[in-house]
Amino acid sequence: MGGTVKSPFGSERRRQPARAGAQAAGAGVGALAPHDAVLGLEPLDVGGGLEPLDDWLAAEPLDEAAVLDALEALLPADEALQEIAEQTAYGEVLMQDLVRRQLRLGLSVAAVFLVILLGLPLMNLLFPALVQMRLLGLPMAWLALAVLVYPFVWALALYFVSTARKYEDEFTALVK
Amino acid sequence: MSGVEAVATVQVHWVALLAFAGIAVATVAVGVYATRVARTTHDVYIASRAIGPVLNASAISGEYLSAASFLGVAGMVMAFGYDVLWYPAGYAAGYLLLLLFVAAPLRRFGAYTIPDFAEGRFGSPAFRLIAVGFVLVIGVFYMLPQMKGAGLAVQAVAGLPYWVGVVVVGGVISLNVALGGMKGITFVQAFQFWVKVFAIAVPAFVLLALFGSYGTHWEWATSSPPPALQAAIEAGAAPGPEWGLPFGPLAEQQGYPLLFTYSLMIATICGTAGLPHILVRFYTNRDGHAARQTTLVVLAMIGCFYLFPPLLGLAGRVHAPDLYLSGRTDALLLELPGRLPGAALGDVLRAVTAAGAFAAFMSTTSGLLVAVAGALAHDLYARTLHPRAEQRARLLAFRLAALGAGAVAVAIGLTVERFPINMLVGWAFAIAASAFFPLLVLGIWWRGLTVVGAAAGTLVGGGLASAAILYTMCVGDGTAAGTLGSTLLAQPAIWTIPVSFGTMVLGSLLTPTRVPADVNLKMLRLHVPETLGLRTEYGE
Amino acid sequence: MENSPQLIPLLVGQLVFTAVAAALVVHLVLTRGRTVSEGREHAIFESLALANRTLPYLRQGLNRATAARTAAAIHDVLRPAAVGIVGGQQILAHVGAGADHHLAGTEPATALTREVLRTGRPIVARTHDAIGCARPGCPLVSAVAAPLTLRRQVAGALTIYFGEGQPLTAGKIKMVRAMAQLMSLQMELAEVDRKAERLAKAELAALQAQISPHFVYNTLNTIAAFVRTDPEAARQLLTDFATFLRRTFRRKGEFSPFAQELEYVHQYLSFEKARFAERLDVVYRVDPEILSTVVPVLVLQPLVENAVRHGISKKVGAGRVVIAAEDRGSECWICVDDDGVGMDGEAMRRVLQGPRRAAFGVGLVNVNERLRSVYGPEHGLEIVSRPGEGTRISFSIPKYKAGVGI
Repeated sequence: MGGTVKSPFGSERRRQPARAGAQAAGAGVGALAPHDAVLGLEPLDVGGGLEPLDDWLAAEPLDEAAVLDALEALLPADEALQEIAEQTAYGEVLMQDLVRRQLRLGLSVAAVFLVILLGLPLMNLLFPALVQMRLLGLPMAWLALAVLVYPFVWALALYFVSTARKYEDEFTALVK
Repeated sequence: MSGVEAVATVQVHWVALLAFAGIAVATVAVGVYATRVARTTHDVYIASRAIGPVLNASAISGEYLSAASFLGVAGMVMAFGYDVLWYPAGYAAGYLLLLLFVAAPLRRFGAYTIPDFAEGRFGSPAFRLIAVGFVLVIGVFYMLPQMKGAGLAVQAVAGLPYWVGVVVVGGVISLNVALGGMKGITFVQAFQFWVKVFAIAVPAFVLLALFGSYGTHWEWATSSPPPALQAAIEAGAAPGPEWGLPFGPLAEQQGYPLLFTYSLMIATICGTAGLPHILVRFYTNRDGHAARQTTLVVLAMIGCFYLFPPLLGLAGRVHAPDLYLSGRTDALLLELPGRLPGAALGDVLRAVTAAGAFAAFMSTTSGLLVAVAGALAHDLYARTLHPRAEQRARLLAFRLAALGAGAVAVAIGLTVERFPINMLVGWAFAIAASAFFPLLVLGIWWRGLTVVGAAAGTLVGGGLASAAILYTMCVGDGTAAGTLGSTLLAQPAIWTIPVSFGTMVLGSLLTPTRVPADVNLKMLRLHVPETLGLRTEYGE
Repeated sequence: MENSPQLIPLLVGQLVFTAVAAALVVHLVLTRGRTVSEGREHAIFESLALANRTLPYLRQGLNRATAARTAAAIHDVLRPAAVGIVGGQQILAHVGAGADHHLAGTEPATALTREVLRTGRPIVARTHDAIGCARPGCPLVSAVAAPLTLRRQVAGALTIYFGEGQPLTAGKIKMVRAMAQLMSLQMELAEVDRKAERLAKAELAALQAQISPHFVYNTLNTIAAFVRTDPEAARQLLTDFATFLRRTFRRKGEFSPFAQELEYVHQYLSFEKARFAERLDVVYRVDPEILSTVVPVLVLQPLVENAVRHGISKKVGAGRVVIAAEDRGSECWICVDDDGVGMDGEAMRRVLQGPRRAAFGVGLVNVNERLRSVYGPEHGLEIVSRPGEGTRISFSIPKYKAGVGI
């Protein structure tokens, strides 16, 4: 069988003649799909000859520039992270800055929450008449602790999640 | 509280019993479906689809909302009024703290359990064992209120003595965990969350529809009590108008009411971060930001849930004041349906709440049992006692540990009949808050924490809290007597947490050379966003 | 009120706490404002932005093209009379006044530049004569020239010329010197880049050797076979193969999330399925809870490959491979099951001792060894097989292990 096979890399090779004695269809180790039989190619045989591929590679090397470009695009931002990992001055500054910002954010949100939550008993104590005022049929004190505290906490949480994410995105942009 | 009076009014509520059993069966079915059917596929994209925040959050909420939340809060609101509202608010706030300081970094670190974090952060297998010890203590303590809830529920629904409920339910759950283990656990927990929400919302809406608005109920509970309630108040069994006011009966009961309340609040807020069965759930998130989003959804879910128990407590005061007289306010949620007009409606509602109650202690107890058995089998047996154990041996160890831990929980559960559920929960939270909350917060945010400081703090904080609680359990009479000392021992969080923090800080400052050499790398893993593709080499 | 005695200390405590919290909040709010936009910091920021705009071209090395771009950019921003860059003993670029006789490609025309190249030190020329331009009528009045260094040697010079009405200030001099230093830095980096490139090429060659030519050969044959009968499938296979190769080359890390292993297996299987068509059926049974577990790379695919090669391909008729991953609390249990020809004890031993390299990448031996070395000997591969019935290979690893991370 003759003819050429067009390689994915754009070149053409003469097809190697089928090795003498090899059966393409049905026999032996794992019969392959009919396609192979049509092309007269031999089935996989662990230990078979390498010639066809060797020839190919030898005569038509891969487009190195393209491969390197692809590699480059895939490699992550190693340098900055290496710096951080190796505890260099620049790395430390980057790292500490991020951690500090996140911690400050957490503490601020916690502070707001605690001030309000722990201020409630104070309110109850100091302004009993005020907190017993009715809203929607319920006294403010009850309404606050039995109903409103939950959406309040959730709103704080929402703010935190979006801001923390923003800090992380900024850090990523800086490092990349 | 229980005993003679309960037996005198025995009624077996068959519908509710069926609901009980139904939930058990449904749980197993969901577990089987989740693993066999739903997860078998030819499509890799289906197979590799991660658990989304909503599903994960449902599962977390399902595990978190225990018998205490489901049965206990409503009952206690009915008994003690306004001050009890601090409990559920604290439970929700705990998640906020978790979100702010723990969720994302812990996920990034890759630790599955707190002992993992303890070992990984400091490179110390010895510290791991200390952490494991407290995981076991907290796990067992938190199982106790679930056992109690089970006993109560079975009593209310089937009229059987307390111990029957504890043994049967405890046994069923232990077997389920031992044989099924982790099968489909996310789906199961999520399913049970929705059962619980349904089970607590439906009675509330029915009550509002039948009798009047939230505000109307408030009027009845405080300024214009119906005759039955009035009678109970006059008999001295029920609190009067001070019920609805701050610094009411609950505070009065303890010698130092404000102190007790604050201590309890601190325990519930900080304790969530230390509960072993909750923290492991963060592992299933894809990355740190997903962990945050999941926590956000959890907050919304449990927030919605906790709107209902106070309302039901209010309604209980109005519609079932006889519970004051019999001292069985704990069983409010199961008794309330019986007070409704029409036996059929009552039966159905009772079935609904029974289902919710069963789901509550099933999911939480399963989660705890898995955490405890996992700690015993993985940390104690496989890593310490018998490091070369083969796969089969490890699996067997898990099963035996589940059965053993379940048995221990049942045994202790039989002895805690006299303690209110929420007190038991408060204890578990106090230990978790004292032992693990400072460890997580400082370990994640402070580079200067050394293994010496961390271990000392955990031991001191957790140890003191455990000792105080054990003392109260054994020597105290169930409700703290009036001295300052007994109050502080009954709810130690307010002083054990600062002591724990202080010990950690002091211990670390005294041993500055023991800061791990690779601390920067650890901080990296905790805080740097995953999108940067950081890679570390094995064996550092 | 009875509570009064205890109330007062608690009230005080409450107040102190609130005050502290409020102070914290206020402090945080106040310190927020102080970001980078303050006076001096702003000026520094602007300068750096300027440098950023004008320097990137040199990252590709110093040649006529890059020098031209750089000079143009500098000229654009600073607006001097002219900018000249010299390198390798010739003018690489000259932008601005006097461009007609300071031509790129010619020898440096000014004594100034020649002096800088010779001494390697920056020089200031305050008069037209000091510049030393041979051409009469040259409009350049004053100049500052600074050397460009590479590997501690003079590789060129940057000269900025000023005309009438552009006085030479100390600031300008400093700026030119700083500019030249930054440019030198860029050139050094370009050198490093080139080295890295060559290194990558060498690495690539090494990696190529790890992929069995047989696998590539077979896959390409399959693709070629499809080209005629089903071109769409061929195109898809080709794209997948390219991605597959890229991933292989990308294998730098030692660990990756399990979800990624699954995807890798899927890609590998797409080629095998193209080969075997209906003879190969693959089923996944994966607990989503463990998808984010960090596992060593290439720990699943060799198992699947073994199942396909030794199980299914040798079987007459269709075969099924089940890839299962179970969440077992603190561990994950991963297993590949096939209903192929199975192995007897002898074959099993051979498989576990056999070649370290399989048709693709690594073999079972390699996987076993890596699992054992990372997690311990009790976490290696377990093989159960019965001839004629099938084979199951499994392992169980802890979800967390100190030192294991992405």
